[in-house]
Amino acid sequence: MAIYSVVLLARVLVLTPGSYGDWLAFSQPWWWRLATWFFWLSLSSHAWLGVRDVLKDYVPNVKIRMVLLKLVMLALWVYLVWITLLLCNL
Amino acid sequence: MMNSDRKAQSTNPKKVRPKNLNLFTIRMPINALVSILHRVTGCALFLALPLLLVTFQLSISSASKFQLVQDLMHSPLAKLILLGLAWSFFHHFFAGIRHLAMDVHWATTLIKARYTSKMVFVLGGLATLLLAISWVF
Repeated sequence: MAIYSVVLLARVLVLTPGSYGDWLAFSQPWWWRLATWFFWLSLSSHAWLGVRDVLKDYVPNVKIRMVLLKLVMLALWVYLVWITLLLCNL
Repeated sequence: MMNSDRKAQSTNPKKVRPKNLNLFTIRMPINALVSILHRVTGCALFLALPLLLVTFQLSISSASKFQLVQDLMHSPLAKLILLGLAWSFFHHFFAGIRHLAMDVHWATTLIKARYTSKMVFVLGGLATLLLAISWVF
């Protein structure tokens, strides 16, 4: 994720996509979409572990915590499907 | 009271183990500040994910929507949010690398840890500043 972030920043600074055409050309290469997908996959597991730890510490009520954890899990799955569809249709 | 506490502790240590997670009553040395901000920024970034996805979807859907995103991003409120998220990202990034370094037992003495904490703040602030400047030009 750290490497992807640095490459993303470098590409933005070098290619400076300012128009819609530029932006598509920036996002469309198959390897970039693949990298983005793997970045998001890593992001999903990273966010899950992080938010889970935070909820464990700050939501003492087990029932409420379980509901929140399930909501977080659901959200992360929805985001993953969402980005997958966006990248496939790009 | 003391006796019963001690007794409870010997039978069930979990029940009476003191725990204090109230952030407003804990003294915050710089290392603790980096650590808690790593959490706070992580939460902020997590909450920003749907915003990021919506923005990305709009930006790739058509030329007019792309223009809309560009216009929205130039509003003062959006700039403020972007600046906050940019700092959140950079702080989380550098503090995360610091944690990874410590996982492999690098810079784990107190003096070194304080030094790397300061580095996290300096680098996070600097990266945000540079991004803001490049945004303006």
